[in-house]
Amino acid sequence: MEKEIVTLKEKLNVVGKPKRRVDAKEKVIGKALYVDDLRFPGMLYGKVKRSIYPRARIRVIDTSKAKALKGVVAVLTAKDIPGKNMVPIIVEDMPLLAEREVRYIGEALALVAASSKRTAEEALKLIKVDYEPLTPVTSPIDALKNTSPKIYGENNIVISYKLRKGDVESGFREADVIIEREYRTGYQEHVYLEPQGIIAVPGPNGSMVIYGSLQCPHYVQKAVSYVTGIGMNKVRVVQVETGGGFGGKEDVPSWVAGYTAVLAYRTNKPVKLIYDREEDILSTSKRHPAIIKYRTGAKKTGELTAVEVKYILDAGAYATLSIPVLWRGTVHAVGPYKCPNIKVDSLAVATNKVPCGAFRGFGTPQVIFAHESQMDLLAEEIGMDPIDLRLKNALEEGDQTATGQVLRESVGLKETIRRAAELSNWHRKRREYSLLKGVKRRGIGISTVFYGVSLGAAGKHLDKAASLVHVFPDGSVVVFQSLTEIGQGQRTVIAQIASESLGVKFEDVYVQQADTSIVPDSGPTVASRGTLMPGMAVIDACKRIKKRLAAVAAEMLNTTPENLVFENGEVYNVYKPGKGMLFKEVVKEAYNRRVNLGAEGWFEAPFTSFNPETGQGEPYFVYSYATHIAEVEVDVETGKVDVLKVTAVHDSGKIINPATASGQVEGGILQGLGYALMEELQEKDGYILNPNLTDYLIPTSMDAPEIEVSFVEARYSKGPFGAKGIGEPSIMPTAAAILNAVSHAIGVRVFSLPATPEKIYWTIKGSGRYT
Amino acid sequence: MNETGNLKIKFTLNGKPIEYMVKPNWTLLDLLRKELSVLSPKEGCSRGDCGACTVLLNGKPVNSCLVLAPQIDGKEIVTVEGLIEDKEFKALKETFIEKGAVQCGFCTPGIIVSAVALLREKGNPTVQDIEEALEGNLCRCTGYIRIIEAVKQAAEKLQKTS
Amino acid sequence: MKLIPPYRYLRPKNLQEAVEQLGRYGEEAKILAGGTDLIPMIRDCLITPKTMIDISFLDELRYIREEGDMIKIGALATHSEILKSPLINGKTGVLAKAEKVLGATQIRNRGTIGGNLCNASPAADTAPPLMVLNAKLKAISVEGERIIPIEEFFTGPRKNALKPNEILVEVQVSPEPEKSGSSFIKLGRRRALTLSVVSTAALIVMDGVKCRDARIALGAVAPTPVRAKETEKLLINKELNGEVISSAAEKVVEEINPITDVRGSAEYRREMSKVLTKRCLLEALESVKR
Repeated sequence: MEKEIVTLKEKLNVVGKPKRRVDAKEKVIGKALYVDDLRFPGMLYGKVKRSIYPRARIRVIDTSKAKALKGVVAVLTAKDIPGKNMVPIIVEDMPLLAEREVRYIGEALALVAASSKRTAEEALKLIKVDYEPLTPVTSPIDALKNTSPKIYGENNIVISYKLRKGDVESGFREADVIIEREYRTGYQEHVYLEPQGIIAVPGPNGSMVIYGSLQCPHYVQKAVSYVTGIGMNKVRVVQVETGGGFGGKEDVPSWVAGYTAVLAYRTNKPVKLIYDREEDILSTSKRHPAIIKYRTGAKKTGELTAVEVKYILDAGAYATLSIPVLWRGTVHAVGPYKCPNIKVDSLAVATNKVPCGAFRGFGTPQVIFAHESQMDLLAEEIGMDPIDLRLKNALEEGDQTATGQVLRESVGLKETIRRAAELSNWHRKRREYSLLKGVKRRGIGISTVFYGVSLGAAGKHLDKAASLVHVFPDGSVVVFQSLTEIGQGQRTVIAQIASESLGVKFEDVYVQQADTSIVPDSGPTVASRGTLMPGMAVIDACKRIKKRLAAVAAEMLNTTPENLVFENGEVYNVYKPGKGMLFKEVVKEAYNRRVNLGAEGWFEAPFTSFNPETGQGEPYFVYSYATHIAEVEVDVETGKVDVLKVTAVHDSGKIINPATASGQVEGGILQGLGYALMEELQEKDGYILNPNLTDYLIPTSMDAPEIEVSFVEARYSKGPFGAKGIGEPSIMPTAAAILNAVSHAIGVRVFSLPATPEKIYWTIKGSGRYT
Repeated sequence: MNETGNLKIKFTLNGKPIEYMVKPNWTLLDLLRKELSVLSPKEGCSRGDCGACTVLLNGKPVNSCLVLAPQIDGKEIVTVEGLIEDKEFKALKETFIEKGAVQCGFCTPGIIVSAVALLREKGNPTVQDIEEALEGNLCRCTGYIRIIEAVKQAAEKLQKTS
Repeated sequence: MKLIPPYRYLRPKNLQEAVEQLGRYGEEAKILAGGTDLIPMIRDCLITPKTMIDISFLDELRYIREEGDMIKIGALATHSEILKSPLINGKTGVLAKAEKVLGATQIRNRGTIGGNLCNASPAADTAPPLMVLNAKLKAISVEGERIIPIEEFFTGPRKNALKPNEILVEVQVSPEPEKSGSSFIKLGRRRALTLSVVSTAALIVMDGVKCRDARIALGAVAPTPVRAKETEKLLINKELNGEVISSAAEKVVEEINPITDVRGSAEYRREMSKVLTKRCLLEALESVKR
């Protein structure tokens, strides 16, 4: 149940209400069109020939037989790429098609376009690749050895960061207790229900339109321009209904579109390329596996004195997004706690495996698992309740983060902890569950996090957003912006912001899906920035329009613009309520007077900074906070865990739509549950052993726990109506909370994710606590 | 069957009789989406693991990716397109929209089909019944909570009106 | 995962014709029933049938009925039909229990008991309960008809005892005896739509406090589903209590030969076989109708 949030300071008519999603009906009646639902005259079907070795030299790619197959229109290799054979991500290290060497299983080697999917698939079999297999490097630990083959740069290190604050050695000397442990986490596959897909349609004058399932239209535009050589002015990217993203459609569509566009360019025909599930799992990005060495020092009274972290990510064969993923993980490595002495060293290491990339949380769930396990170990060691320990160290307004940033506003962290404890009956359950004996044990565990909203200092050059708003003569409004709706409810939230800003009815606002030919580059739909950044840009445009309308309305109502209220489709003098006019009447008059009722809005992210030598600075302009408390039941004879309930309290600033925000949290929790307990992508020597949903398991309806969501709304002065971001904090605390609950239940701790029944079973067995 | 191996089948699709020449190796999902442009069933895994392609075959939910096209000869197939006037569907449509039980929407048509079948079989399903009826329909966005609530509420609405 | 390659499609009008067609195409043909196992196998390129004989239209093979002291289940009875059958629930509850956790609704509505058995997965959920029910499987071919005890049916992973020209047409089971109890437990990696890591079925027949007969079968712990006969012997003619059951359950590891795969390690499967056998026996004992 969403509670309507009533604020005393201001009356909001649309913002803060659980408005119905603008896209729900089309989706329920089956009319929403996804990329595979679209067809164009003369359309061909694309397929990708992929490497079967984790590392090999390519001697020859023979495409002659494939080309000869009836129905095949084009078979292309690297030399046929009209533009650059390079996918532009952050650094340029990844070719669109491998030319001399393959570096992971599933790497693209050649492209086929044919009159049918079946013919394209037949053609793939006829492409003969002569490989010279090389010894692959498949573990980051091996890759760091001097003896390792060099597969990336001089030392196999894609990127490294450091963060230094105070003096850790003296911090550990001051400590009464030191906890030192190593944690490991595995891959997580996005399993967006709709696999990757793009259609490229060549147009007149050498132009190209891309329709696709994607998060970041401007990235795709750049990539298509790069590989085809077509100017960006002639590449138009239109996002169609997208069946989930979670980060998996951040960078990957750049190369899916790259393949498709090259095929369309060479054949001069529309080309559709849809991945099948196995291809998607084998060849697209995932959450990075990680190794985290963590050392925490604290006083007997609970205050942290020192934290030292070594964080290693398994990047896979190319850098893609490992650079910002590692950066975010580094900045968040200490968690939302005060600590004077900090040393973090982090590395992303190349291996001959599929490149890892963005996944909701972006390098933080791994370190959160470590820091939240450490907090519980520390609490246990000093005999303190885990809630009390967290409250003792939690950041408040005026405190300094690990990077030395002073938090000036919008810090609802402690309230999330207190409220979660209260809603979950923490103290009673913690006590009662500790007394349980027998085969089924119960536990309750907590995890608390902070999350820097938007791209931060590492991506500041991209951190802006634009909008276009038009008011039509009938009083209806269209909003263009180019962050994408990928299921999270972004279009609905933007419609609410526009409706509130202009004072028009929610139903009178229509938000278009993203199209790069209409809206200036607004950066990617990532980093929980889909409300804040475009929201501010929409408010900016609405303000401009409202100002013009107010001038007209003031004359009509015989008052001054400052006295006007725009609300719910009406305009009135604040001193004469009930004697106003309809918004559309004002609009009509404005049209008569040739007033421009279209406006562009713009927003640049507030100040951020980062010193690469020390890691100090203000990496993000604001943070969201969240606490999850999980309750579990563990079968100690089998290791099986049932998650009974998750209580989630989030500070994401003002909640624009409590229904969609809760939806984000609920979905994040279930993804976090999967990450904690069952999602295990198994890899051996660079081969993925379970590239299907038969054996890579995500939670079903039967696995869903009870979920209680509550919001602390510590408003952010520079966000739309005080909003921050919610998409990623939704998943971040869950796995650690579940693992802490499991430890509480069984009295021993699992140090790696996922904690499958088998792993928990052996942990219990090895502990000697149960016979 | 003709010499090319194609064969003509007759079936009803969303209440309408259809005759169609099919290849034996097409799946029902191929037939619906590629040949007949019935687009609500979605292809998410092609092997019965995700439920996005769920349709009713003689009233029962099945994965259309696991049914071969010739196997529906003489049978009744119903997709969301054919449920628009159905009373269970109408109730579900309302509650799914009201509860926000939809996010990316890719799994939604399959879930609706499974839910319609459940409500036809059990007027007053428990939460457990709903969870079981939807166990073959993966959703990666919602956490299922709102979907389960929406089905429950639809059942209650139908109970009241009947 | 690949598109389904072309094949010759045959749709027999009746069982007789199916038998003749299979007689003609033998080795190169595959029987198509529900398709829920077959289609993924074709997509994984594990099999590439040249001919498919679609028996899914043969309603003569879709039945669940009692004949004399036998319950006869046609090979095309779907998992849903079996799960909902009052006869099965009343007289062979162990099978109903397994059907409830097999696949998901969509799979149960389409998949057939005959297909589940012929596919001969070591993890087939219907196999352990049918083994403790001492099921007999009726196969027919142009040469005639043959009864195969279920214990002899599974010959290896994805291999069964049918000759290339034989079709499985019927599963025959005796009702669970009087004064008996039964259970089925499946351990998967999530709560639904998951393949067994280990599954166990047990059926015990009591004579007062003593166990007159005990049958235990396990899935996913050997190249085929297995009966644990040595373990059973430790129970027969014993007074059943927790202690006897626990010590018998330890024995079960000697009768299995699990492998390590993506679903679990051999060691874990061994451990879980003991736990599940114990639990299954305790549940069976609990359910004895006295």
